[in-house]
Amino acid sequence: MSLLRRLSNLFTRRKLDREIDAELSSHIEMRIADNIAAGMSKEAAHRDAMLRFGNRALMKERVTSADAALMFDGIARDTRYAIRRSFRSPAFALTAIVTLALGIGTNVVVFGVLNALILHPLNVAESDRLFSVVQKQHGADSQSYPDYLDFRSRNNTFSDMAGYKLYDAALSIRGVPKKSWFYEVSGNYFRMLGLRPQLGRFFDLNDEHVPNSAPYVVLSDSFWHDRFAGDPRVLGTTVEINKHPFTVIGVAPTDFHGTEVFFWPDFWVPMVNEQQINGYDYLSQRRSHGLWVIGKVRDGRR
Amino acid sequence: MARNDLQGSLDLLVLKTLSQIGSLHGYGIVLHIQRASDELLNVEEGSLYPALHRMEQSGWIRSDWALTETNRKAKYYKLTPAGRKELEQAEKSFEQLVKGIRAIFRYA
Repeated sequence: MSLLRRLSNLFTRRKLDREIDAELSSHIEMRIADNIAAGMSKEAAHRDAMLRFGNRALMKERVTSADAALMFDGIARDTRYAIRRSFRSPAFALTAIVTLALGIGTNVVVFGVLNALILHPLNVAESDRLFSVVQKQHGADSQSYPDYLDFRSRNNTFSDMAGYKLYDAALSIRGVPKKSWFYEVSGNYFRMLGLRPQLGRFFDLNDEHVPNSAPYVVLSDSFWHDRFAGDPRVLGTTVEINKHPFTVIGVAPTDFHGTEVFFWPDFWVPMVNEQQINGYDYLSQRRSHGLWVIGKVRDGRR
Repeated sequence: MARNDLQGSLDLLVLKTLSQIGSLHGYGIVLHIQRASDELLNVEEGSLYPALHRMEQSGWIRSDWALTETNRKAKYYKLTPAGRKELEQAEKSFEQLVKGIRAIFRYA
């Protein structure tokens, strides 16, 4: 019995029911007809047929359970058969596989988008007070660091503004490097978002003095679990980012994935240390854009 | 004999019947077993159907709806190659069983 038939058995319970009924009825009717042919009265023929058949409701139940019990029994056999068949007609098999792959791929993408947009929105307090600050000119809508500093100190709309940049780098744990994705953020980033670390602490403006003065890293929850097995002793250990030592000082909350919809960072580092990591300095370059700025509006300014 | 508690024997009887007659509906199988055994084996007729469906799920037999000689719709069962193999096995182990029982009867 094919897998298809077995599955369709599951879903067409009513049809199967009718078929069993029809089969049992046809048996009883044939017995009645034979009884009448042998000279019995209609009533006697009927009674005899029912007696010989036994409890019909019980039999029907047993038949149904016999159909259901072994439904998935031959799946291994069917799988082997399917593989053999697909080798015999490779063109058809390839078409089927490609069709399935495309279908599944599409679903994964759609789910990925839904997951980021709807199931995992920005998990911070008062997220309705947060706004991105962008230039009107399309394609050049990010800011430079000097511009950001000016926006931050000279506006009355936001109670605070923070900046972040997206990067990838080699993060080495015990000398083993692996490409990782992260944010370089301004010192006030976590405080402005109103977040509390699940472990250790966040860096803040007090950690930042001169360039490269804050060699600290905050891990995301998933990165902490993937690379450090969720070990709390990770605090105080040293990792290397592009060969420069950084100290792990904290782990972000479980449900915080940064401030971009489709860019979940492995970790966060202070922006003042950007020169160490990137090998060049953008903090003093007014024309070097690439910094994303978010601001928290003051109460009553919405 | 050949009631539900002796399922193995019922399977054997059904498979053997189908191997001898070819294609047959449940009622036909009952009649054949009664006639061929000189009315010694009386199957409770309804109990045949759980066995038939179980054997079909196991791939030993397969079924098709068809018309009887009297123009009645009935489900006809047929042996599959797997069923033929199963029958050989069942016949062998049945003969072993009979031999064993007979040996015990003759023991003196």
